[in-house]
Amino acid sequence: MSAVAYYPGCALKSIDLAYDVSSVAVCRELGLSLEEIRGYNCCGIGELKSDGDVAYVLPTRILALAEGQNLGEVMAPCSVCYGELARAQSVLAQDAARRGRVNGMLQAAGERPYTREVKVRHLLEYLYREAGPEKVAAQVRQPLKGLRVAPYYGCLYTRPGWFTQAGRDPALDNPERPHFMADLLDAAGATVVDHPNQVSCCGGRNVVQDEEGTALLDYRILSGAKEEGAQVLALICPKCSGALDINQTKAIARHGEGARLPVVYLTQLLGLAFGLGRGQLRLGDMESGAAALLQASGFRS
Amino acid sequence: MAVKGEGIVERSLVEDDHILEQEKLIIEGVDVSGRWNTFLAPRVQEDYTPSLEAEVRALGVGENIRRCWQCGMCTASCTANSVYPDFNPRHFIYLVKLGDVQRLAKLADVVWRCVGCYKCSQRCPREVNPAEVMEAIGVIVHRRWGERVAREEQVGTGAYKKQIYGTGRLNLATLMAADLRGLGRQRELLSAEQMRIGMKMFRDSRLFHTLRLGRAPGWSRLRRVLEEHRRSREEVHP
Repeated sequence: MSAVAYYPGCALKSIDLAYDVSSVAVCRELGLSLEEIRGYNCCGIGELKSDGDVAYVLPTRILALAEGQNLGEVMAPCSVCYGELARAQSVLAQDAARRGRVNGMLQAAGERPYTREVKVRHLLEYLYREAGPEKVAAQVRQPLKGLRVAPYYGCLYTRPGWFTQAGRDPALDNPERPHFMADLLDAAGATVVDHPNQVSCCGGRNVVQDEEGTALLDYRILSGAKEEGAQVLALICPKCSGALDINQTKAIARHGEGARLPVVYLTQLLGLAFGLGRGQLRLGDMESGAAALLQASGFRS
Repeated sequence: MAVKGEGIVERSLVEDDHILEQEKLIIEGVDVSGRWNTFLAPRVQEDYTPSLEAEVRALGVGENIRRCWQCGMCTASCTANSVYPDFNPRHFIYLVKLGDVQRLAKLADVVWRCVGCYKCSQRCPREVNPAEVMEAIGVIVHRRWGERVAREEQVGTGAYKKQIYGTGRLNLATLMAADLRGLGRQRELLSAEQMRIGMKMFRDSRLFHTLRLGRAPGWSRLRRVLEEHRRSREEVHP
């Protein structure tokens, strides 16, 4: 199979290193070949949208770099990066004038323009469609038997459908009721817990700007999953991790112990089931007690 | 009646002092006490800017505002509305289309609270993309009534832009430090909790990786081009 361009972004190369190393390791186990984009920049993290055309330059430069490496697809594990890339890809495909202006800015800075069409994919969709539950099940060395996991999809993995094509292309996940993560966790032997806020927002964008509002949104998600019997919440986005894992103590301080729930990345759980080592899982990086829970449940990394 | 104006649809849109209630009311000999004794005071529009919608559409984001047919699907789906009843995308769009700067000014510290979850844009039947219209209205609010916007938002957004445009990379550690310094809360950087996380990240090598993030290759040229375009945009709409 031909390689896909891997865009880890900035968070995965620093605080969220666990998501980077576990994503790469899980893909390797499943025989999926990644080629990291060289010399990449920040996607804009949704914070530049108010600056109009200028904001498209950042994700478009990333698409152009993939094109320069002769790769027709970019895959991102971070839902915010994925959202920015999908936004640029879909808007520029339909708006030739804007594409001209954005490429003009890139070329004025001596950068390569974005000339072809590069497909943008989220890690979860990539794992599901390129490997799928059967191949995941075949790699399991240590089934996650008895572990009650709540999948949490968040926002930009599918929304809005007219950027991502989710809900329009039947091969992609359903934006209102996604199931790709649940199916992969089930294949890894876990007990998947249905809970009310799987596609609700964690407020990650405003963790600094609006601590109070973010804490309430996080409390709703964490307590809702816990009330349904979840032992752990599985994520696919470092921004969600910032709100639900690192800032979980703030939700607990404002709304009580109902918000206390270990949080991990999907790829850490899949890697654990595949029997990967500590260096590829980095469970100890998570702040809300996932490493202790998984060890106490008898899982070895 | 327990709550003033109870029963009014979208009660949060009506200001308290505009609701007139009579304890007991008889009109032309008919006792209308109860639900029928509530009235809205007539409102006089003093400040009106018909060019507001054009100003929004010129920003290069949220241009589809003109397609809105006021169904309210955005507000019904809205995450921020579930936390702040005054955050009402349908109403914000209505005010922009009317050019009602008077009422928009009163909402200056609410409009920025959009979390960017795109539920509204997913469900909008007219592809207005309300999530990005909120970005555009946020620009208008910052330009006209920036002093009314919470300091946390001003500092937080400023820190993001300074870092991303400046380096082409996002460094979450230095970003948080910039946020806390901007808010005069730099002492929190030395709190026991921050020291614990810092030590943990030193031991597990993430601190080293964070220091290595640096700048995106060749960024200085792109930075100049982007800043030039941002400046020319501000000159069009000072």
